[in-house]
Amino acid sequence: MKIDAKKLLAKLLLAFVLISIGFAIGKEVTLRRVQAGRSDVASATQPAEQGDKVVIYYMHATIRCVTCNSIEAMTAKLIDSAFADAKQAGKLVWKEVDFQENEDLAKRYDVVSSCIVVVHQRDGKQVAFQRLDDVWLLADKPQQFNEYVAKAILAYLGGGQQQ
Amino acid sequence: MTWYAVGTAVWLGVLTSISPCPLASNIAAISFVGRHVGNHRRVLLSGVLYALGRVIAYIAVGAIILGAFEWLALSSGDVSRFLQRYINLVLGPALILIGMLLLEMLGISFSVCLAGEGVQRKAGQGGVFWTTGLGFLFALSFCPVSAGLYFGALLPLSARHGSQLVLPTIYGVGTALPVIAFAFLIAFAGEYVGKAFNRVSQIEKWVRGVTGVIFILAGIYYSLAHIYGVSLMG
Repeated sequence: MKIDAKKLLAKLLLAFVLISIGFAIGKEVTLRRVQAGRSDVASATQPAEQGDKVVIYYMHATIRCVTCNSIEAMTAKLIDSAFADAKQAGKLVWKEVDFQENEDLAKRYDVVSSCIVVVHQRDGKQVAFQRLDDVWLLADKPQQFNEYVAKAILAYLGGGQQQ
Repeated sequence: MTWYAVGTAVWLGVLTSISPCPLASNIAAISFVGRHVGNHRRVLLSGVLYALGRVIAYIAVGAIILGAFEWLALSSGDVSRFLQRYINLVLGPALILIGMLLLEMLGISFSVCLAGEGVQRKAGQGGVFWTTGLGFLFALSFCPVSAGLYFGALLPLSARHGSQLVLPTIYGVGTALPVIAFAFLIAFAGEYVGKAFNRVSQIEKWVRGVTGVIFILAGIYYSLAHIYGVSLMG
């Protein structure tokens, strides 16, 4: 009787493994098809923008983790407190992107893991960017984290305001 | 290379290992390494072999990025994204199968034997190849935190110091240290309880069973999280 239960469990687990492998392959194929379709559309419908602008991306993987979420929350809070005016004026844009789905952006900024990317745009075109990888080291030091991110934003935002 | 760089590499390793996101694989590793209750030398040997597997993985990935294969022209982002996308898909089913091997569940249900009994016995005993392989697999299954710290902090540090071997090695050992420490804790606790009740061998058998169950549970967790996209964490 005990052997039978073990046998049944083994079969169930094997079935789960096989279904999972099949599901993973199916998901992968679909994702590739979607990505191939989307990159054509994205390049065709890029609206032209005027003036300087700082775009702050929060890049994250499809799987979110505790530290990732706190990095996102800390950055959003910093922007809303220290850069509220710029955000209101449209000079600063905050975007959240899944880099595993958006292969184009991931390649452009050579994203290795969840991180903040600060991009300086002029007339809708990218002039410069900074990838903030050290957010991982500063995630548990809020003050240093804020200084680090704010410095990167100010480097571009300041330049835009002078002109 | 300075002591500062060495210290940073160890710290990055420990930080990688104690962050919550590789928790499930670490628990599996702790039980795998610590399951030789009553045999300190084997626990230590398993711990060293587990660390070795991690070190090999980190050196290999580092070599690919830091220029050993320049003609491949791979950026750290390419490699990191590839590993995060595919190894994590493999991880869940692999852990379930290893757990089934540990519980000697394969072969019973298979009329055509996929894994011979020899393989099962060796996996159960924790042969050299298995423990090192486990460290290797777990090191390659990057989660956001480990990817951020390894690709974003350790590899730039290695590049700055021209150290493709020493710093990744130290980092790899650092990621294994908490696992080894907890494995010892479990092995000693098991032995203590076993001696108190005069049943060390029984406890060992029990811990071995629990290890298999933990592997299967961790495997199901990773499958749900990475393959089915079920959000299991806040």
